[in-house]
Amino acid sequence: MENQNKKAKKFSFEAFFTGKIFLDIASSIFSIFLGLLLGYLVMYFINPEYATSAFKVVIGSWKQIELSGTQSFNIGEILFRATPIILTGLSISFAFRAGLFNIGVVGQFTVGAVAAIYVGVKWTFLADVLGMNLHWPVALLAALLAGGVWGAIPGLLKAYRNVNEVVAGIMLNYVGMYLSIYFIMHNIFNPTYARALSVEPSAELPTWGLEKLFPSPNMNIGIILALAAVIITHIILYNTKSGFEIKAVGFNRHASKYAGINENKNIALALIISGAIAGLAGAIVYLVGGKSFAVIAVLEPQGFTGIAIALLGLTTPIGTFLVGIFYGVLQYGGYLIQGDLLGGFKPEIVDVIISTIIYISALSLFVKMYLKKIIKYIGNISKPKAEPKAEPKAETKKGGDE
Amino acid sequence: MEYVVEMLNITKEFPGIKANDDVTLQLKKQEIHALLGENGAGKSTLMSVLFGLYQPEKGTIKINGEEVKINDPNDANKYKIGMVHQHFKLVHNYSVVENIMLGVESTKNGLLDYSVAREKIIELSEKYNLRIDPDSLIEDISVGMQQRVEILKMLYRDAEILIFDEPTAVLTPQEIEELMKIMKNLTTEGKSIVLITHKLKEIKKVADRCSVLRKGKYIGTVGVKNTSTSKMAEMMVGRPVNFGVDKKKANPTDVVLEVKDIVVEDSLSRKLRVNNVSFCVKKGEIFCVAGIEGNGQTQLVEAITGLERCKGSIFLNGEDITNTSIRKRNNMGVSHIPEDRHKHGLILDYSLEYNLVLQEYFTPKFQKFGFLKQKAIRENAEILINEFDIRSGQGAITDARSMSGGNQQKAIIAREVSRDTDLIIAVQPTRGLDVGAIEFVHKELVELRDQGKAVLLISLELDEVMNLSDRIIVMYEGELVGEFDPLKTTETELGLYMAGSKKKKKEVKHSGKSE
Repeated sequence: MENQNKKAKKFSFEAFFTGKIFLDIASSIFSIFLGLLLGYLVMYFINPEYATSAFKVVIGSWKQIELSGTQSFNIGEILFRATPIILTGLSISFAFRAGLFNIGVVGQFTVGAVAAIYVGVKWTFLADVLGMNLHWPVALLAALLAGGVWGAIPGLLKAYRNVNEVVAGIMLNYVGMYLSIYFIMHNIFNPTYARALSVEPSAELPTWGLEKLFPSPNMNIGIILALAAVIITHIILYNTKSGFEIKAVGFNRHASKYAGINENKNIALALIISGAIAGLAGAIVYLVGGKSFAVIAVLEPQGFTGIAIALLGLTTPIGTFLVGIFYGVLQYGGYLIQGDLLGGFKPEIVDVIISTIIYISALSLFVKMYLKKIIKYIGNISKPKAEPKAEPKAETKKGGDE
Repeated sequence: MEYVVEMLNITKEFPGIKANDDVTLQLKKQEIHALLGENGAGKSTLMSVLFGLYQPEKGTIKINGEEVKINDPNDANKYKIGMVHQHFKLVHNYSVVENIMLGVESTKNGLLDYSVAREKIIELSEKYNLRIDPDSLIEDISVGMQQRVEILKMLYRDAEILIFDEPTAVLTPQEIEELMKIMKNLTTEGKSIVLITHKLKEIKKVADRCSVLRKGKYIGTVGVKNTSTSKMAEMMVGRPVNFGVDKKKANPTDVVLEVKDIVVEDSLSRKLRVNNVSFCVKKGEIFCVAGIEGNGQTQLVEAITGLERCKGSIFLNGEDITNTSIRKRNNMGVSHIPEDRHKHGLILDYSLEYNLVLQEYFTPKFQKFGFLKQKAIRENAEILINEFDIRSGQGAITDARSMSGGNQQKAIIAREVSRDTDLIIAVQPTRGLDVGAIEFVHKELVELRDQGKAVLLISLELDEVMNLSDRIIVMYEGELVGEFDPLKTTETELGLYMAGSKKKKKEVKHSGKSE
């Protein structure tokens, strides 16, 4: 009996290790590990003396940060950096579930940000509506709407005209960027700094006491909004009828059509929701005191980083959230190691690490294949050895008992 | 006795199941050896082991008496083993010559040299009586011809041991006849053949010996000549099998589906896929559309189910549904067992339980305020799994992708039948299924008929057409070429109509009005 149980256990064990979920997670972790290793090597070549301690800071070693005396460890700073990336990553992940690659997230982020800033600067009457401050909520809503509209364009084109969403998305990134500049110049321009005006204090995101919990000047409810978005999209995808349809369309358009699912509607809907989430990310970045939108023709980087975060997070909402936090840790570390006590590294080192991770994760299929082989190999070695050993033992035990 | 191939006591395990459990297969020189078994019995696994795609946990393989280790298909090639896969591995926009030489290209000064290959191919095709035009493109030739290309591919690589994996599944009766001749021919020229199949008629016709597998276990090897088909079927399934379809006389009543002057145009080539077809299906009958693959049956069904636009009109229980959405038609009482399980029938990345509610997840039974009722979905799955004996690794939560073809089909049938609709459209419902599963599907369809439902059956298998249907129409190149009573016609006659060499004019006219 015991033997049988063991065998059964072993079976499920191997099935687990060669199963899809394990391999997916393992290949993500492997990519991260390799990326960190390469980052460390680069740091070592730049400055061997400080490389180890600085590297520890980058990966968020509490002790090291306090030892170095640059600053006390600060979760608030990490969350602040993670928030927009979690949201852009979530936007990508959501569209991915419907089988769509929403590279237009950059444009959606931008128009969302500008819409929020416009409301934040101009619609001051919202600061006091029947004793309530509706300014920042309306600004957020404007961002959701603008992002959604910007997502709807490739969504509708894809659904009803079969225009590739990647091509439409890339084009709309530029359209969104230049349109935003034009819009800012004519409406909310601050000529002294050549930037958009900063939002009114009433439009800044509140802190709800979070700054006491995580003391940081940048702390606000952004992270709560991101977390809420993660939970809501998770529920939509895995517990609702709409999620059932969106995923069905993503997995198999033909079978969805066969089952009477309106695949066009769902494609459009997925990109609209995805766009709205990206727009929210834009609002959260710019509805902050002292932050202003630079009027330069550069695509906002958060969107592209979001793609990587989503892929590393296995394009699931929760995975994206976790990887987003990890990204925050790295970014904060990159900011800290500029200090002289840590060798004065440039924060760009973090970009090297992240781009390496992305690069490796792009090879995830390759990694998975090899992991599978290695696991099988280990399984094969351990099996014939384990079995003959186990049997005589069991027998001798039995003999002893008798 | 000398054997060219011996696979002794092969055991191959996958996580959770033993696909082959102590299986032995011995192939004599110049024989056709049938490998018989239901879906999931381990036939393909065994052949994949021989072809080097899998490594067995236990057992030995001997080629010409010598023990060998086959690590990959290249090794298999080295030992002169060739395989014709069920789904051909051909490059469609390459010519016959290019396909055959692919992988073993002959070159001259670093450039491809077609003439050598071409000559060899012509020589081979003459020797084995496999007529073929070496310069035509694969996409332009028939499925039967494509199969010849696959056979030539093996011969070109000097294979001595030929494995045919379900070779007749895609062929017309006439093509099957030809293939049988070719196989006999090959053995007289010195080749040895393993024929994987579950069609007993073919085994009886062409094979010398037959090895039977059941659920991964080796049941035995018998001489085909002195074993009856029912005995072989019993060995395969493990119980006596009923070949004929038991059914009472049909008792058709009201018209459920009426199709009038349907025209479906190919959106790209503007060719008429379905040309002015009219018929009606009544309650309590199995109405069959016969025809060779690609003669418009697929498009006809797509028009009826709403997957494709069409001209003409379609009535369901008297109501015009020509322009109704798919969802609405489904809800009004159309069940559809689709031709392509993987493309239309299932979402392979969804679990079995999700697939079982694919047509009903939006009903109050399975959702409330837009939230799915996971518990109800699970219960529904468990009931259907029990009722239809759907087997899978982990029950309701198994990925549809990891299930065997027969069980995938059972899942689709369970889903469609349990919806209790007036019209059931079954497109090649037994394609690729084994005897046991076929029996099940046929029984189910007859039972549905007897319950007073209208069954529209589209089938390529003449056996099935003759046994199952109460009325038959034949389609050829999108047109309806004849209507038959199965009791008053023969397979040969149907075959002639299916091949387009005969046409009934007057009978078609009565049902079609010109626009």
